[in-house]
Amino acid sequence: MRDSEGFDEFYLACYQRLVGQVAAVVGDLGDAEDAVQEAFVRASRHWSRIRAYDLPLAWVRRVAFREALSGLRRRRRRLALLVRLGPPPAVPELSADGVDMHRAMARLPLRQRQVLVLFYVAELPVEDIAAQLRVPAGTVKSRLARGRAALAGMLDGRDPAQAKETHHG
Amino acid sequence: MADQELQARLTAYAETFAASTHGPDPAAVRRRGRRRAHRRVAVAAVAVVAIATISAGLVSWLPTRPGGDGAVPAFRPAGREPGEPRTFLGIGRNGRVAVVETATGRPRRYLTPPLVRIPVLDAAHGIVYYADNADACGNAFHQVDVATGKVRPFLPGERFVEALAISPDRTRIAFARAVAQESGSGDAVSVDCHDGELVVVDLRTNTRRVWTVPNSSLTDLDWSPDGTQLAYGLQTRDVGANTARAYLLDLTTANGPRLAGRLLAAPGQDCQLLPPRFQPGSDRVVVGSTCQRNHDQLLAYDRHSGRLAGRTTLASGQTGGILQSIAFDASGTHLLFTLARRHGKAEAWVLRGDRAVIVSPDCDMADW
Repeated sequence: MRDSEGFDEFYLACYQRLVGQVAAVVGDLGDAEDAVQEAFVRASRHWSRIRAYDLPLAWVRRVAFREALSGLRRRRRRLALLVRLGPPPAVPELSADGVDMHRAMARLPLRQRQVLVLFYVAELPVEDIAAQLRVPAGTVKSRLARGRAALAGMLDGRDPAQAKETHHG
Repeated sequence: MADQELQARLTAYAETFAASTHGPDPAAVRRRGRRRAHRRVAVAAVAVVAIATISAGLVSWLPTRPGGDGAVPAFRPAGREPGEPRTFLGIGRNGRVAVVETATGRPRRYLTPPLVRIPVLDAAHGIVYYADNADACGNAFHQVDVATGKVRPFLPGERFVEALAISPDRTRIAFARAVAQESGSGDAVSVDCHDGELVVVDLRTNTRRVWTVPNSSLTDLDWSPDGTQLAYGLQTRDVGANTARAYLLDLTTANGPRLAGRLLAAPGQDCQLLPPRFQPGSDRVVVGSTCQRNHDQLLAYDRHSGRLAGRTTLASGQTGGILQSIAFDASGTHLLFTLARRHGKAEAWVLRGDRAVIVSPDCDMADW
């Protein structure tokens, strides 16, 4: 069996879906594409091992999510430059509903966004989300409940409770 | 809102992104994987940037090369005779630190691999401290002797170092590091960054003081001239909200373990902060603020009270660019700031009193 046996099919079947999930969390298509492509590049290097997994997609998704979040932190310091001077970001045309969702998601803490997307979009059970994020299932449930309530509230037009301004931290 | 409706709307949102992306051909992805497997050493893309020379209090600039953004970390202190060959260290995005001879204006030697973070310059001792780009949550630091080019590890054993500053009297080092967790192996290692820590090491006694701030990253550090205070930038690790803030920590009264400095600047949702800089010979600490909707500003705070003491809004000739970096000269009488403009152009300005003077014309890096 060739080392790359099945990789192309796996990539073509999962790439777009995964970009959609990562983009829904980070809110930026370009960052999501970078992260997902990086994850697939890594997967191609270790494909002979990864294809033997029960769920190769879970491995790629975990790498893509972490890559996206790590990359975001690094890039965030240049955000102003990118926003103001860079070429227009490749952002899809969002419907009015999509814009509302984009704004609402952007106001949620990252960890809640992750859980919401993995639960509702990727349709993973709580246990699998907990395994992917390496947190207890109870933590996933808690983030899910809070994220769901906050997101629904914002989409319904209710202003979420403002986080208290602390000294910091 | 019903669970099903929420799921439908969230799924539709994600599918909008999915429908807009067309990834590279799978063969191209495999090729990238193969190339990486064969790669032993990262090939450095040479991108020298913003190399400055300073003579008798004046600043002149050479054009930047592709990849640079004109960021400049520090002035070389005065004290040499005009015309005498001297060096200056500059860096930009993906740039390298270079030694430049004033007489020729040409890079004599590259000291570092391509860098992302601005290095720390100990001009008095001719040492540059720079971070490699190995880790997602901070880096390992190295020191390079400008005279010999010799590189040694700095803070050996420390990873995920996010910022570094050496006290003016060189008796203490302050560095910020991330508390991070690694998973995976080989090329598939992923890193989760958690809390931030500020560490001050007393080199005379080899003792450490550590402060922790949860779920945040300390982005920049600067010592006050008398070594009693540290100014630092802080961002929470939640990427959804821009929470850049600048704080001031009084080392004589600060007790750990929780880091709780005095808030200086919180510029708001659409703004970014530049590293705070103490002004030599004064009681001020200056923070740059660059915003999407408002003019960029230089904000001066009293370092004892923390109150805003002055504000300079960049004027019309400067507002087309984005404030990139600020640095004081050794006497504190001149403030250098750099602006990035469209299409890779960069400018350097010197602010003296209330008058800003451009010291480098636009330079089109595409022409290099």
